[in-house]
Amino acid sequence: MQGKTNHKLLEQLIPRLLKPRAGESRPPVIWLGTNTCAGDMLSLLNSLDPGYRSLLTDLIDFRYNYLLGTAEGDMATGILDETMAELPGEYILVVEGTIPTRSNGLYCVIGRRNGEPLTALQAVRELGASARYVVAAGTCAAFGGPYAAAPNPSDSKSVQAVLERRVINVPGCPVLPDWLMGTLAHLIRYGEPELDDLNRPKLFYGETIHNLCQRRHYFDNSIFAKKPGDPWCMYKIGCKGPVTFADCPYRQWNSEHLSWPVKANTPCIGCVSPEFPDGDMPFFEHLPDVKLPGIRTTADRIGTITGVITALGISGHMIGSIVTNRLPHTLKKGFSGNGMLQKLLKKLR
Amino acid sequence: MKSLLSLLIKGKKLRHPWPTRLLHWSYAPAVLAGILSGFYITRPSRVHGFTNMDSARKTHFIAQYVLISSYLARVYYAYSAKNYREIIPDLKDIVRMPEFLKYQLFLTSKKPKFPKYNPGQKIVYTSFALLIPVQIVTGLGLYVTKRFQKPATLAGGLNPLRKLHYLASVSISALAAGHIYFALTDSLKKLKSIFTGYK
Amino acid sequence: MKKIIVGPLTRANNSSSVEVTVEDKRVVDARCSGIFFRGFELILRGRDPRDASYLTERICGICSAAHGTAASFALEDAAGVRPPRNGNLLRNLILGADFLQSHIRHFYLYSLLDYVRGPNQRPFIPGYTKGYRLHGKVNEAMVEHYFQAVEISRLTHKLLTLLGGKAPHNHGLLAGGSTVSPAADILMDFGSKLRKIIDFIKNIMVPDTLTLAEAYPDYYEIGCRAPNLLEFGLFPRSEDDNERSFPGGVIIDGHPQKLDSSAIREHLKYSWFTGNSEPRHPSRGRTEPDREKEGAYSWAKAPRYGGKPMEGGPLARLWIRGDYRKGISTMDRIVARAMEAEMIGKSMEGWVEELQPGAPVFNAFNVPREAEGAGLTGAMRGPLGHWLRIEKGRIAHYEIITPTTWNFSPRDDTGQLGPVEEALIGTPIEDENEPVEIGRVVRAFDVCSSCSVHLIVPGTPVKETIIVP
Ligand code: HEM
Ligand code: HEM
Ligand code: SF4
Repeated sequence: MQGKTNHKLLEQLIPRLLKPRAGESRPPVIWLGTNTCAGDMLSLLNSLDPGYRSLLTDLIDFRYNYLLGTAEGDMATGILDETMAELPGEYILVVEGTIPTRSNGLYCVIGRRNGEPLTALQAVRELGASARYVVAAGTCAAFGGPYAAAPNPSDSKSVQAVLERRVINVPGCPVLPDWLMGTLAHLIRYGEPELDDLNRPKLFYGETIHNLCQRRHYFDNSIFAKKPGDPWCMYKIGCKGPVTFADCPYRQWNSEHLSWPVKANTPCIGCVSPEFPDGDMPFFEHLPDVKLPGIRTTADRIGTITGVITALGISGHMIGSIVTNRLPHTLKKGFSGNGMLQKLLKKLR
Repeated sequence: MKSLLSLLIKGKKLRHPWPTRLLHWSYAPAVLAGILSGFYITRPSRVHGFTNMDSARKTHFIAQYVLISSYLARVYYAYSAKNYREIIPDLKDIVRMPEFLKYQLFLTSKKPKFPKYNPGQKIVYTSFALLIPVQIVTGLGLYVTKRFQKPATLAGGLNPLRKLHYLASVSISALAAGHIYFALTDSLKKLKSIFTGYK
Repeated sequence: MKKIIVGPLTRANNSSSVEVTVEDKRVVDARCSGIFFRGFELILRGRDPRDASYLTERICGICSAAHGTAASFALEDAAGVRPPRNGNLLRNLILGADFLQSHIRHFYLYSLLDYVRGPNQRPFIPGYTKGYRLHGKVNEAMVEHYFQAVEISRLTHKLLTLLGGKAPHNHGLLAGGSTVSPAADILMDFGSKLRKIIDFIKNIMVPDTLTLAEAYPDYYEIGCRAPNLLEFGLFPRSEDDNERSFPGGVIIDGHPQKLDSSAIREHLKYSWFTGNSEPRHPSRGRTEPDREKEGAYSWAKAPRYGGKPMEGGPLARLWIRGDYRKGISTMDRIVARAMEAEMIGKSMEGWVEELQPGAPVFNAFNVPREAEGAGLTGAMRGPLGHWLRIEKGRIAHYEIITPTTWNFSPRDDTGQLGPVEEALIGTPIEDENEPVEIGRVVRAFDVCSSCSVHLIVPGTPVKETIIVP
């Protein structure tokens, strides 16, 4: 698929260019950056095989990329309209970032159309409607992530929340390059991968970190790290591995399988989970904060307070029962209610 | 001596038929084991009577099977023997609540009489009946994480689910502590009856 | 007179937008109006102070280690704890690796395509057609280096992964130190990857900037502004943090001065905020957003040092250290960035040598109930400050001033332009339909609009919003 170009000159100037091989069709991909830190695209650049170069030449036709595309301004926005008009039902839409919905999405504008701001919300809805697949890259796009954390100042939502159709969620903060490459490759070669309840490919998110962890035997034997940097199980300093679905321990990071947070002696913070970060903070505590109206406290404290109240209540009642002579009376009455116990005790003596 | 002993053990009136007793002594230890092992899982420390995660989790999981089956059986029995009426508080209990509280707060020495369970007991037992399913559903969500994702999805993730499981177990522990305290101190006759059936 | 809006300004860490007025083919007015309201500060309230380093890393994908570092410094300051010797070195290595990543990616992936034609392939097309001055083999070699840079920048992220578990958003930056005990195997791996990166910077990246400088010499005259420069200091030399490798400092109108962070004030006249009637220090600022405010045009507050708009970044750092004082222009910014990358690479080799296998890397500490702290560091794009107040063991107030807030600030209360606005004035625009020059000037500052996470407080009516610069 040769891109439409206004660079006739360029072709003459640079003969040895990366041309797509003849007869091969690479699906067009639009990569939209909405409310994001750009970490997912930067992470994709870390992919080893295929690397960015062969991604461009062999796997996909990267029509629009907010971070690395050459076009800027209206020229860039024009590509979106062009693709929607020319290739409906063919392109894959990848969205990176949350979609702010407050004020009709004006909190994230990705360009201009006819001099008017084009909001991320509008772009995702339009592009999503006629895309072949919609992929949410990273936790923000998949579930909301850090920018949608309380008090969620921009009313940010996940891509799925603003689209009627199915969105394939490939979460991670950032997404591990293999997860995204693998999902794209699966979509291109074999169609939609098998998804779990949250529309994540089971291929990558089918098992908990905890069940794959190298330090699992430390966990089972209760050998725990007391602080970050200790080489044991991170459970007691808040490891979210038991409640996080991802294959980090096997796959490890950045294509070369070098390390992952637990191997770096720090707790997993559950960055692929739908509740990240609100529902699993504090990162270094076992249980997330408990939020009641106007109150925010730790789960631990709730446990302690309940325990103390219970203990006080029981001991208070017990003191009352002794002072009012109720308890001695009960004991005197014994198991049959007629002082049988005492008689028995007397007899035995 | 023999007659004394038999009187002591047997009592006169049947208070708890055998299914009640059998089931009580299946779920009660299961809940207690669940509490101890559960708190070890939250905060591993020898205080809870375990030395390692492996045994705590195995205990928890065995207890959970016992609890689930005995809970289901108890619900069925409550339904078939219609004795759920003894447990669920009704209007009369609300009306008589002040009287009951007055006694328990030592404002009066007149012990009120109730048909079987007093309003306090009813509230505690009903709370158990409501909280244990919460434990079962959230617990299963944590146990068969892969196949049973609904609870986690509904709670907004596994972390919130874990938090619910924890908060429910805090409530159950407090209730159980209260229940055991009253069982041991309120009336030895009734305490005996949960073993022998007779008061 | 003609108004040009470049939006989205792609190839910046997240797209952004700039509005300029052109008269007689020259820029006469410029406005970088942006949604710089980093709601992150609101999100941080009430959270555990220890979480700040991991959470603030998420502000920005390309400079995450800088936020992690500043957050760690701030909490260390508040808690009165210092990292062990290894901890400091490891953190320097992690931040250094992210610097290399950011500088390489900025130059090749973001900046280069303003000067070099990319391959005839998406997403390098479409693009501007005019204004490119490199031809034939030279251009071709640059494109080749572009793809080499992708490979090398992957190695930089692997350095982060080795010491921080993953990248971006690594786990190795914490108040109290770092977490991976340096062992021979890790250090070997690290060192050999670092060697490759340094070779690339020395033999390819630095020469490439010089090739650009030769082909575009007029850019030593474009994007100029007065030498008002600011740096907070980068890489503590020791765990006591008495001295930094790249010292903090200030240049006001060309005269070096000692850094005094209490001279910072945030101006609000042209920003969509109400609150402070007069400029205030960030740790004392109490602001409420107000999108309806008359005359305002940006979500960025305008930070000023001693009343002056300050530029930060590699050029400022090298100038303050005295390593580079040729000029202050678009090309100087580009050349300084590559030079700095080479210097940091060399320092990193030294730190690897200094690490002591087996010695502690992390000092445990207790989070104070009530405390205040400031974390100042150099970041890829200039001075970065995190100000933290802890009450009842939780974050009560968190204020972040990113380098981009300095560089991209709007006018202040006295009407002085922000640094990028200043630099844009006078820029020649050859063809108003293809204003390639604007992007060149702006990108040389290394825009990082992710650091302004497009967040606005609820309840404030917003009629229209311009994309972040
Ligand atoms: C009254 C009964 C129960 C109590 C008091 C109880 C209590 C607890 C507590 C305190 C925890 C630790 C939570 C945490 O901090 O992560 C826990 C974990 C757990 N409970 Fe329960 N639980 C009960 C019943 C159940 C049942 C019925 C199930 C299963 C169907 C179950 C399954 C689990 C599982 C799977 C875990 C997580 C274990 C792990 O992380 O390895 N629990 N329980
Ligand atoms: C060692 C601990 C325990 C002792 C000594 C004990 C004792 C008793 C006694 C004496 C009764 C009868 C009260 C009466 O007849 O008025 C009773 C009933 C009951 N107990 Fe416990 N109990 C214990 C633990 C538990 C626990 C942990 C649970 C938690 C679920 C529990 C749930 C119940 C229920 C639901 C009843 C009502 C039985 C029915 O009517 O079916 N018990 N218990
Ligand atoms: S380090 Fe985390 S994932 Fe690994 S065994 Fe311990 S708790 Fe589980």
